[in-house]
Amino acid sequence: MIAYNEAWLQNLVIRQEAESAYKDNCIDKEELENINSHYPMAFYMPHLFIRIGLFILTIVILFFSFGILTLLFLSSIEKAIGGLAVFFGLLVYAMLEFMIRSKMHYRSGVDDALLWLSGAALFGGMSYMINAGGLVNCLLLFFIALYAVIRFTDSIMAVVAVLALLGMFFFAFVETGHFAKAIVPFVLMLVSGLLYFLADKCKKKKSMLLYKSCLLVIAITSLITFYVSGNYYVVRELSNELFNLHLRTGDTIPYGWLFWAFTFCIPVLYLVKGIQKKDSILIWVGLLLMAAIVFTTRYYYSFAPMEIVMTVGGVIMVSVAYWLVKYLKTPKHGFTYEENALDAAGNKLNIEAILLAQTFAQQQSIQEGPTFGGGSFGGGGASGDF
Amino acid sequence: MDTGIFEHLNAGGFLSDISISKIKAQKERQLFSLHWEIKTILYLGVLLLSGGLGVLIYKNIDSIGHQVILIFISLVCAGSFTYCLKTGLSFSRGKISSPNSFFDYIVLLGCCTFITLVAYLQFQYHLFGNRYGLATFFPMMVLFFSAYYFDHIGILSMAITNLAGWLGITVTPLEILDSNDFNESTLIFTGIALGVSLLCVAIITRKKNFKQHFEFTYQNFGTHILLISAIAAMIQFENLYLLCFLLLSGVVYYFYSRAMANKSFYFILIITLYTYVALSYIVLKLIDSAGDFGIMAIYLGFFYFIASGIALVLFLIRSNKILKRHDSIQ
Repeated sequence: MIAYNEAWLQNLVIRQEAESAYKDNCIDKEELENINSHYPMAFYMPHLFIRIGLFILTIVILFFSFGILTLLFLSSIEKAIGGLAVFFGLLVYAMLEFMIRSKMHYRSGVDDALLWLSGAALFGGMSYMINAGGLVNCLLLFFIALYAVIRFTDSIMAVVAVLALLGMFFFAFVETGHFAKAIVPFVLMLVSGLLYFLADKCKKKKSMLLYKSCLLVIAITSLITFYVSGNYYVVRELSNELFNLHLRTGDTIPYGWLFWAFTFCIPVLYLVKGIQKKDSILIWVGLLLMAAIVFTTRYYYSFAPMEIVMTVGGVIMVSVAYWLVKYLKTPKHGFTYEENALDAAGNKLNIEAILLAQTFAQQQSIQEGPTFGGGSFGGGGASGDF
Repeated sequence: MDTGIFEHLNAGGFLSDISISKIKAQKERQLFSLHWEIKTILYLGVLLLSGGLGVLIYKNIDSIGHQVILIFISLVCAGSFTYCLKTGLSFSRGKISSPNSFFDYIVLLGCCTFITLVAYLQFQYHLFGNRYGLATFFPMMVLFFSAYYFDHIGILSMAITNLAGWLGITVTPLEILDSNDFNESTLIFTGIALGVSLLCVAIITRKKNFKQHFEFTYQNFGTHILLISAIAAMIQFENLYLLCFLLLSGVVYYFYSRAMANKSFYFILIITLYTYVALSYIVLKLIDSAGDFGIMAIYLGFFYFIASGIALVLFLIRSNKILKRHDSIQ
């Protein structure tokens, strides 16, 4: 079912686990080498940066190959382009299978690029040829992405598949009738919730080992879509559009209070559950959606000017962080502030430093023009004035 | 870690019983780390707070008065630096770890407020008159000093950005291409000189064993600035572009051998991409100047991109192989 050599994929997992156990000083070098020789794996898996380079170059090659193909049919391009794209997609797909089977590429940048571009070309071509509407487009996209997930265990395609599936439900209900239209948010929440529980359950199954990263991504995506489907802003603006409500500022939608409740409670629920279950996915998604609460509320109620909200928010966040660091100085309830040794080793590129240079450094330049952005770090930014 | 896999390995005879008990003990001991979660909250909080306070002051400047704000900023600045000097460890040529997790942010706060202070004084009271250079030079020196004394790579990045700003170039990662007018030849020469000097500093940093962990930051900035300036030079000085390209190739060859020696996949990638841009520019220019071929020229250009793309793919694969041969851990 999977295009890659399945035994090697399994061995890869074992080798990676053994490697991290070795780095934690749990097993000795002899054992590691023993394991590596008994669980062979000959995939072509270059370093991350080489993978990025190979990905970019493969995209360039494919783009210009398609360019040559279209140049050949330049005179009748409007009729031919759909068929050409499908043909090109199939060609690229064949190349993908070839690279995997005989060159043993696995997550090398080449196979990623081939997979995504063949999917995109097939989808674009077919959609153009049959002049598809929303529902059919989502259907096409879903089946292409699902195939890619099953055969190539690709996580990005898993995201696409989830979104396309939700899109299918959305269009199917919106186009059916008035009542169906009204319950769309609940349907989408239901589907997202089911997807999350399914993914979470499958993640623990041994038979699903090779799909672990896909399931993880599906879980994250469905947690976010669950929130988005019930978010007040999304529901209000979409119903305004779909039902032609002509809402004015200050008007609310039927059952508005319910969606406000969703908007506020879901992120908190995620965070609480995440802390209870020590589930970092729930914690991160919860933190991210906390920002969504602020944005949604501020969009409708400007209870204070932006700078006050920012200052107060900043003070709260810094104090929470300060308190947490102090609180977790000695680990409590199984939580710690200490960094995992493996994570620390991964931060070689000083991502933090690059972030600092980007966000804090723009304001240092001293302006000569008449505008003065205040004593702020965020306001200056006229660094091109020299 | 999944203990199931290790039990399987143990049953297969690949793991001794001691090892498996170690793994199990490790697994039980392992705590759930909230390190990056807390750091992210702290970082966003500082960002929001500084932005919010800035706007707040800016809007209320009439009612607060400049003196009050200046006093406030200087107090914060002085307070931060006093704290850092008191709590921080004394200077060393090697890497110093920060005494606590807020130390780095307080260094940052001190530096940012100092910069703001100087900017404020210059704008409101024309402290340095028309010598704008001085107004950037002082904060820059403070930044470099803080970066070295308190061992803060983030501040070092800011200092280098400021150095470039003092010379007239914007080098913040996202604005490097937008904000600079590369049509000006002085800017190009400045960029080349700055890039070369930063690379020299990187070499000195390593050779003299003086804050060796700063090498990457210098080298990273130096490489990007130098290569972008060199490509700009190639486009700007139309008559000399082949000469520029030859110079560029020499530089890139040097970078390549350095990257291979350092086993740096990152530098291999970026020099490959920069060279590709330069090479493609030359080839397209040659095709363009060769005469009017009409549609054939387009075909030629497309074929060039396909062929060169494949060649570079092979090159990257080869480099990867050579690097990995010397490196057992990926």
